[in-house]
Amino acid sequence: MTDITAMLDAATVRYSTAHGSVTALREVTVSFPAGSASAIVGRSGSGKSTLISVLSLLRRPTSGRVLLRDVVVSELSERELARARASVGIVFQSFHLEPSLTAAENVMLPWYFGISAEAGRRRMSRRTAYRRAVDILERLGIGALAGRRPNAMSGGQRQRVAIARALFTNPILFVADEPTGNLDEETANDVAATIFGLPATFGTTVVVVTHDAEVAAMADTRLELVRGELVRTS
Amino acid sequence: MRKSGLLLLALKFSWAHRAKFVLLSLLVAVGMTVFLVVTELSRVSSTGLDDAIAADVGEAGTYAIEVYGDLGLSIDELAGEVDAALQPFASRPPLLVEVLPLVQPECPPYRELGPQRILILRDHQGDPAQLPFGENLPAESEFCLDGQEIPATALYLPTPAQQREFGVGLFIDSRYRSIVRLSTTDPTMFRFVVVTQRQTDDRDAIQQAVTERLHDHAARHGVAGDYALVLRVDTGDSIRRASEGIRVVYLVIGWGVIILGGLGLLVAELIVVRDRTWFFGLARALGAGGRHVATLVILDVLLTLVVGTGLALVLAAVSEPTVRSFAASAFGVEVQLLQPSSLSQLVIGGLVVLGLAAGYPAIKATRPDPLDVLEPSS
Repeated sequence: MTDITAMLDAATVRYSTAHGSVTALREVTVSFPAGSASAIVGRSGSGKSTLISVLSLLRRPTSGRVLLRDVVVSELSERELARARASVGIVFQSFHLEPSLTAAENVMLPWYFGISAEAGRRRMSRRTAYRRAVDILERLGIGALAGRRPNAMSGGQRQRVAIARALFTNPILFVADEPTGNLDEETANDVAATIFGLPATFGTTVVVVTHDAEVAAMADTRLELVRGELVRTS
Repeated sequence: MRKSGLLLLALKFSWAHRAKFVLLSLLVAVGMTVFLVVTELSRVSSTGLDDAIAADVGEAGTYAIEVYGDLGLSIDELAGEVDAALQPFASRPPLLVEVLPLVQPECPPYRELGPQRILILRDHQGDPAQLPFGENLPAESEFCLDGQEIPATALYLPTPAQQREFGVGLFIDSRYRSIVRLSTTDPTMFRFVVVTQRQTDDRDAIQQAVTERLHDHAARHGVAGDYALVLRVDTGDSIRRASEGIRVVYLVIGWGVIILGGLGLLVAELIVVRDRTWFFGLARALGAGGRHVATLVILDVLLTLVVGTGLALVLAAVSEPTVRSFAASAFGVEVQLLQPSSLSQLVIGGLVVLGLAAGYPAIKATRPDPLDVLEPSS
């Protein structure tokens, strides 16, 4: 079991809407081995983003379980769940960078909030945190931008900063929801290559939701969702 | 929770929005200065002004209990009985004025003044009390009774305010009491002065308490009827009410400014929270708890308050001479803006503003679901 980073076990998610109940995920069972890079594809409304929100611990399944390594995180208390989120790095389609902070400061945002995935949440000095942020940026090829603010960067650079921020807490799982959705094709491919290279460079398990077939093709494994059900794995 | 990181973040946000920060700090500074000024004016109106009123019209709740004759008791015994009767009312031990009968001085200049009532001041146990004997009298005054001279250093002419309280007459050192007694055989009256410091009229209650306490002694001594009478000495209820009204007005203005300032900051902070909703959602998605987000909002307001209050202290120091001059000319009182009591009021005011301005925004900032604010639903 320890070689599995994350697992959904018969996870079902239902929403209540003004038009009644909607089932976004139907008893999805899937596991993500350590160091793997997976892409989740599917049409709009197929449940891709819901799957990512469950994996990133932002949503609990209505039924079923979510496991991170050997821990059933779906049964944790709210406070414990918030703590466990540090074990999952997340990147969104929008970059969500704070314009008043430099790239390095954006990357070390978890430090400002005292967030750490490491045991005992040991304290890190600001200088150490800054060095770590710059180191991650350098490993992603944008170390020279550490002191630059987001509004002076291109879309691809901004998304790399967002990726660096997701990696700051040294997460065991990296999830991204349409990370190339706001980028041109060439930049999208560069960013996708960076993301799918994370298992090799950072040892992180990667799960990416995308509607872009070219991006999905870079993954080791492709999962397809249709109306909330996992229908195909390749 | 790492507060130093959050404080650093709050500082960075404040620096990033310097214009907003400076304007809000100035708002706080002006509000706090006004609060400081009116709080101090309220304080002096309730102390200095009341002291001035007390000097002019008597301390609030001052009563004179006149006991006619000693009812067969020694001064000590009589003082003890009346003191016991006045215990429930007295804010401090009562004073006793032994009012000796009218006597005619025998040497100038008092011969021209006509008969004088001689007074001896005693404490609540009947022991002679100290007075500034020799003051308020012409340097070469002479007072003669029964062929003996009483030196001016044994006499004290009470001020008008003291006369209102203790009665009209001339205080004499108790050592010369026997000379006065030799001059007349008329009975002595005992005037007890008690201060309740209450605005309510307690005359009936005091009358009943004293009468009940002395009833048996009076009966044994064969005295019937009114052997004790309670009089209210202080006057000026209307001026006291006016003073209280001024104090309340000041308090309303002071706290009104605080509340208005707090509401102003609240509006500004709600806008900040609305603009930063995505950021708070991101923080939650990264693993921050609701308390981290709430702390960040509170620190944001706190920074403005600390800087604004610091400016207010500077403003208060600068404006103190003007305020002093105004208070002295308008009310005849001395104000001091920067003193421990004012500073503690400032801290309380600051906490009220903090609660008003940061409480709701802090709660509001923790409410949004990260999923709702970070990504549109698909």
